[in-house]
Amino acid sequence: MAATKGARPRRFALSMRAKEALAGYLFILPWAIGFLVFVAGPMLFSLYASFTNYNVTSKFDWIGLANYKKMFFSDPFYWKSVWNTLYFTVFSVPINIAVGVVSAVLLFQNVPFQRMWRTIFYLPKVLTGVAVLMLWVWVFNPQDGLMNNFLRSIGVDNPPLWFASPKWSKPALIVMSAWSATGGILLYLAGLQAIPKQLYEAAQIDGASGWRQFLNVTLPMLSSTIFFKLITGINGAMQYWEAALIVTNPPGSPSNSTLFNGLYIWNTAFRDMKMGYASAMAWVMFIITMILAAIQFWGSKRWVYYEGERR
Amino acid sequence: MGMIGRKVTAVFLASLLAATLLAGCGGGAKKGGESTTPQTQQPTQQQPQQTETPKAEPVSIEFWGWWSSETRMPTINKIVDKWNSEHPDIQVTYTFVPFGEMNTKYLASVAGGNPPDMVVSPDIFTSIQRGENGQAMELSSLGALDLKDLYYPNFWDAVTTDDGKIYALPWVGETKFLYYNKQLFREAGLDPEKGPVTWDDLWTMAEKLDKWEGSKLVQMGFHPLMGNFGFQGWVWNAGGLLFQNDETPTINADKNVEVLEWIKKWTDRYGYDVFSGFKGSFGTGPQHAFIQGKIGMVVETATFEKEIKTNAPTLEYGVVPVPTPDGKQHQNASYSGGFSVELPVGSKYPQQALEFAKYWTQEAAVIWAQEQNDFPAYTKAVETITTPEFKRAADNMQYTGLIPVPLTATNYLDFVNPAVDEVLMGNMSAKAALDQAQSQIEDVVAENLAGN
Repeated sequence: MAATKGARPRRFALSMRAKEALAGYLFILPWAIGFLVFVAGPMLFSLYASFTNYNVTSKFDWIGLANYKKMFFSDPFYWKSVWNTLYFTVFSVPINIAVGVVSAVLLFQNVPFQRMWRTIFYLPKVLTGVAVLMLWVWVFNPQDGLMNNFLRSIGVDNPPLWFASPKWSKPALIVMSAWSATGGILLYLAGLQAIPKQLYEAAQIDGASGWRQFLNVTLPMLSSTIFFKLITGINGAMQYWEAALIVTNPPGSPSNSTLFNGLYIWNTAFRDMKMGYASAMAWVMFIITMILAAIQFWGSKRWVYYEGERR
Repeated sequence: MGMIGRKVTAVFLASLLAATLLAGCGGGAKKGGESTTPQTQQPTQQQPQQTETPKAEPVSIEFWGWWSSETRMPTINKIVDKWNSEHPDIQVTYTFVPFGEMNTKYLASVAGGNPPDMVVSPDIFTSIQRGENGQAMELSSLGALDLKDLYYPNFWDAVTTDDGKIYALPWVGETKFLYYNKQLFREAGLDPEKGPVTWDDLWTMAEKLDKWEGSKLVQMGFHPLMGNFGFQGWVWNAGGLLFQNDETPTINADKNVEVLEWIKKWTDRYGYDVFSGFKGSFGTGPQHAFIQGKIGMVVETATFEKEIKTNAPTLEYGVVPVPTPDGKQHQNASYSGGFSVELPVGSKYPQQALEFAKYWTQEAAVIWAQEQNDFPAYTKAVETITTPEFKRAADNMQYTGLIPVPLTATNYLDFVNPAVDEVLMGNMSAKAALDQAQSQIEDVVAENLAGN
């Protein structure tokens, strides 16, 4: 009896660890399958397609490195589009993070109507869409827009033409993106919530000013959240282009100043039907983004602090 | 117990999730790029009649267009209902696909092997390209050759190749006019019954119509790039061409350089910043500079008249053919875009779809033109529609070019537009900018001819 009692569980029983692992794998299975079928599969296909003249319907011939050669050496728009994208990334990501952190810290204070403020600041995230872009077109209207009326009222005689000027079209888009950056406050608020009160108390006992506390307590404790937003922000900015499609006409104008890499890839793929070339461009962008992320991860050792981590 | 229960639930939930996801994928993958409606109708309609009479097998076909608005849908429904009541054996369903997604959805549906039976293509000039790429069906083998004389020749040429392949049926086009504001003409001391005829007229009239408040331009007389004509339009209007034929770009021809210099002269008259600031301040519909009464003269499409009537019913305007350099109208004085209908490769009922395509581009095009103001490619439409607006557009068709987009460089405007920007900003001379665009487009042509 003892033998049978012992035998049965032994055949089927997995250790606790294995059971947990199994349950875990079952839980992620749907996403794993989804990833393999709908992301990894198409990605590998596009890698192959980037060496062909694939146009979906009739052509699918191996042309070696021709797409890459064209991209690097003879396409007049490619580098322009990469430059536009990097320009946007370099300015918009830090600005968005600064706006997000500052507004989150302000909203974390015990101000009256705190909930109302939080809702208002979160609104851009909910509203983002074509309608909002059209509103921004009005804000940046060179003659009667809010922005230029404001600039004129503080004494700027020749305010920028924004979307009508190759010099100012990207800054206009960066300002636009900063507005919706307040939508990121949710994550920062969660991060702020997690900072132990006693750290502030200790700092106060040491006589640290509010600003000092922000620099030496809040920022380091928030650094992992900021790092997360930095990585996702760079990824997002490198793929930024939809706004350019909607606010500029023809898209990418004036003088190709808003021809972002994503827009160029989209045009090449879905308007000109050059899927092969578009795939090649997408892969180069992927690699550039990977390198940027790798640099961030490497650099993060110097400034990102995870609670409970030992150094 | 609690522990085991939780585990079981967890595993159950996980597998349930996996199952639903897979089920979802199955359906999605099968349907490809297709959107919604007809699948469900097809079997239910087919089954009962199949058992009764095998001879008259009714089929359901689906077509895609990009209209969903309240102003468009009544016309679509009218057209479709009429067909369905007259053709019990070919039942048609309309599916809405947003304009911006039409190209991709259409392409994906063909690649996925489950396309609709007819597509209202978003651009008549690229029908041949889609045909040659194996996306749109060749129609002469279905008997479309007989249809040639039913459509205006320039429309027909836009969808057929030199060697006689037919890749679409032409549906509607447009023509463009110069609209002028009679009220502003009167205020400026100009005769409101006499619109401009030559390019010089434009200049002298605009001089009287311009209004400044200090350094701010509050009313513009005219600028060639306001409205809806573009650099290419003025090149054709001046009798020039951007492509000699499909393989030979002539972007930097002397005449084209002159046209660009002429546009530059207009820009300098206001100053680039003033011009682009002014231009950037207006939009379309109620925000259009002409509808706001801020510009004296503008070139716009024939259907723009409907927008004036909707958005500014009290605005007094005159309509004249687009002025040319010497005042003489010629076949390219105005130009047209247009729409065609294509039968996607892989459609199950091409013969029936062609029947519907004929109806759509002929009888239905007349209904459409009557209610929606586009200009049908179907020649007999003129006999039945008699509104003055339509007559005017019909009369202007002889001065309206349907200038084909070169298949070797469908994206040539990507090179031309920035060149124009550079010239207007004063960064490059007209000659240098167009030389550069020419050599860039030559590269594109060469590359496409090589098949890459």
